[in-house]
Amino acid sequence: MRMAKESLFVAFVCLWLAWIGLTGSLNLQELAVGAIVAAFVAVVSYEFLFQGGMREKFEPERWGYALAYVPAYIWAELKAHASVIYLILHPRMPIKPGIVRVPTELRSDFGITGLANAITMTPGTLSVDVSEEGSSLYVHWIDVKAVEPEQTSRQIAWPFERFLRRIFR
Amino acid sequence: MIEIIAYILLGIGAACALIGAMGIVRLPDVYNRIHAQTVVVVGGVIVMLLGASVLEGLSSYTLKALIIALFLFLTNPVGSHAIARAAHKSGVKLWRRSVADKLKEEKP
Repeated sequence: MRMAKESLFVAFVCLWLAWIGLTGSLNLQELAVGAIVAAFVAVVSYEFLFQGGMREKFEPERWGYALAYVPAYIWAELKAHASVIYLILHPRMPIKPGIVRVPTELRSDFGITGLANAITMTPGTLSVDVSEEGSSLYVHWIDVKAVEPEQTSRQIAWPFERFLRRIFR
Repeated sequence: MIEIIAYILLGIGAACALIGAMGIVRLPDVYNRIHAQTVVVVGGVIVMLLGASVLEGLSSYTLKALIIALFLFLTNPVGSHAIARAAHKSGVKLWRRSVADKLKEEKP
């Protein structure tokens, strides 16, 4: 019960902050309307936002890995953009598209979501589906270099999984 | 100096948006076109929003631009994934010269 109240409160605060940021004013009327809307949306949606509960031990190590993830992610993003832009601008478009299976060791919902989102956000790889037991992703790859699961997981997932498995356990 | 950085970011964004648009026209099927769309959103829109916030400095517009960038960052992969999954489920074929379709083989 206590946990439900906590996640309701956190959802409300996040939504209200987003409202305040987007309206960009501290006018009392804006704040009141924002509070009403945020409360309504929070009541409707908090159950779906934090299913596992979020009161976990504060571990500085995980936050350290989360910080180290940012430059690594930007670097992966730059490389992926360069390669896709090259493929688009090349006169003969040397693409080799296909859907490959990418096994992952991540098990938590947040971890798998983070990995699938990171894969989709980098151009050139796009996660299409997740296997039933959640142990591998099906990824559309614009330039298939290998179809063997070990190779695909090393080339597609490893740059992100390296950090995500430490951040989300 | 700050203006130069901002204009470089805006230029990169505009170039990525143009190249992504060309990709959407040139690439062969739905799945490949979604890759080009990711170039437009990440390299184009988010970089341009960052450039605009650098140009504007600290103000409520910067805050808005950064929140919009954050929401694009969170929602774009969900949308791309949903389109690709729906396309595959409803039987949209891959381009004829695609080299593999493990999803169809292993999870029919």
